[in-house]
Amino acid sequence: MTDKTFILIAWRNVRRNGRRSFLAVLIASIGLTTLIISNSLYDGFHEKMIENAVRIYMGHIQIHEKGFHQNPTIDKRFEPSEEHLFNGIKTIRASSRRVKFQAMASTAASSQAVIAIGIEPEKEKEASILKGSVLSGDYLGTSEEESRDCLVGEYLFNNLRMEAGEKLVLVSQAVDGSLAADAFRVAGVCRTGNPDIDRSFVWIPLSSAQEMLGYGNSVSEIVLLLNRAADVEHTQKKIKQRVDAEKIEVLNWQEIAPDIVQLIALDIAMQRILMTVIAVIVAVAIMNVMMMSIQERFTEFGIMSAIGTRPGQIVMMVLWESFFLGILGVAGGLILSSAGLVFFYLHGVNLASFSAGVTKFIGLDTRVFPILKSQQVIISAFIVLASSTLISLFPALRAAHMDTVKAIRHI
Amino acid sequence: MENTVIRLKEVVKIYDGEYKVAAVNGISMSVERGSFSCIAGPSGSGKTSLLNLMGGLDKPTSGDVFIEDKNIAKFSRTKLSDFRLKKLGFVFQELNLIPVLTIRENIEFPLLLQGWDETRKKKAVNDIIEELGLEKLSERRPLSISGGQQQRAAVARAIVSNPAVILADEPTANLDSGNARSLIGLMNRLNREKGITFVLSSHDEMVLKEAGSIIYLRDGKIIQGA
Repeated sequence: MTDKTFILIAWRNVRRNGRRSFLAVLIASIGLTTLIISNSLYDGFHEKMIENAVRIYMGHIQIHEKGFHQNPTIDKRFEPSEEHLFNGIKTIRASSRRVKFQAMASTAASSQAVIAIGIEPEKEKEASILKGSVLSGDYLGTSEEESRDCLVGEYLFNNLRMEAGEKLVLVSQAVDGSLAADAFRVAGVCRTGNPDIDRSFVWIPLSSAQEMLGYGNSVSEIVLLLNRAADVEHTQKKIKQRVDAEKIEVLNWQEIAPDIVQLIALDIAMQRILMTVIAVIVAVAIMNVMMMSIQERFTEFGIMSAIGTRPGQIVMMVLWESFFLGILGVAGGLILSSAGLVFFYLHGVNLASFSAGVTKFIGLDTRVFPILKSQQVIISAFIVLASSTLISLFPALRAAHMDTVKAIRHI
Repeated sequence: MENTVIRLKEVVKIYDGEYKVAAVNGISMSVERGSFSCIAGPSGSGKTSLLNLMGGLDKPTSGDVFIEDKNIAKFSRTKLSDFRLKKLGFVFQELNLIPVLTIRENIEFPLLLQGWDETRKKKAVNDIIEELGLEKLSERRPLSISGGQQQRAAVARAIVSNPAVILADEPTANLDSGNARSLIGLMNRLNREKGITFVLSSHDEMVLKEAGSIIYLRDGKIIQGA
């Protein structure tokens, strides 16, 4: 019953100086809105970066002969039995076999070192965005007459001063150590959005690559695209159980591209710094309001103390007051952030307007859309509420332990 | 002794500042239960300091303060707080009431702190409101009523839990003569009819005329009375 009275007093004190309370609530609301929107955009950016890395080339999981990832030489190859490896694993959306090797690409005008990728055109369509990235010309076909077609990255196409339909000669080393060379017709030009790929990749049919290098039915890697990113861990585990771990490596995207994981970790660290700064700003603003409020009510606290209110009850009353400010701030923040999120869901944020090199990480569509995670919202709201309430402990203790006689005379 | 509600023994209160000031300088006195006493004296004579010591709002530098034979000079802050709640009622010069509570809620406040049950509390508050003629003001907030009405409400809050003694520090200081007379009349009536003990500090002649006993102070010492 007593507690109810102190809660009532606290609530009425919030309403007593409406303008000051509004200011505190506004700061808390803006703080929470900033947290929710920035976290959602960060998450959207991370998801897009992962999705982009996976979809352009890498896939969720890659299977190679052991050591290929660290040292991708032509002698590291394997002959997979896909039926044995993937039978019954329903999380796999698409798979594609590849032969990957370094070569020298020459045209009549110029030559350049490239990375040649032998692909299964039909399967690669499902496993990566390669078909969709064809900027001009045609995608690779499967007919006999199309077996000497190739696709080249946009920058490579320009660097070698090529023209559509022109011949491109690839020179490399076959598995037996002999010189391997073949000529291909440039069927199409690709723009994946990743400058590294667009600058140095040439795609040719898998059978042509196997023939050129003397691979037989061997491949360098199998790329798997899964239904969901969350499926990676258990799918990788299942496949690992079916291979000879001494000979074959099964790597997930985090192991293949640790730089992306590190970039995201760095981003999360920045996110936490931002959260801390906002929490401090909100806390200081609320503390300032509470300090002013207590300064004005010295006599009131003195009278309350004189008639028998315990110091602990005064502390609780002040904490309730700042808790109410925090709750109102959280409510305001949820409303404001909802409006902000709707805007960003509809329009996105075009990161290209901030940095031209952003396509390397998120692909050609540089617009990032927020991803709202309930856990993030709860944590952000908790941070705002806790920081606004706990920071008031200092003014609350000051109010509770003031000298009663001096407080009564403080008019 | 049994009829003594407040007893001070060689009480000294020295304020340490740039200069040491003995606001209360070796006072021994007692207040009888059911009395209407007034502490008088010029400004700076120590009236408020003495009242604060009697009310446990301040601690003496030396000496003992007994309220109903309990030496409150030795009490901890929390124990003093509880003691004040149960045994003492206060009326100050002004701003006595909690501004965000209605007059009824202000009067109820000490009973809530004491944990009275709803029925008993409601009856006690209604009785006091009726007795002091505060019915029309009971749902209003303190800042919407006059200073005289606020002081009446403060008296109601002070007496609602039947404390041993009511201490009033210059309760009429900020009232016009009409309201001052009315307030002192009310306290006097409550003293006569209900036997409530009042100790007031004042230098108002009108208040002194109504007092049953007067203690005159000068420079922290009793020069007459007690």
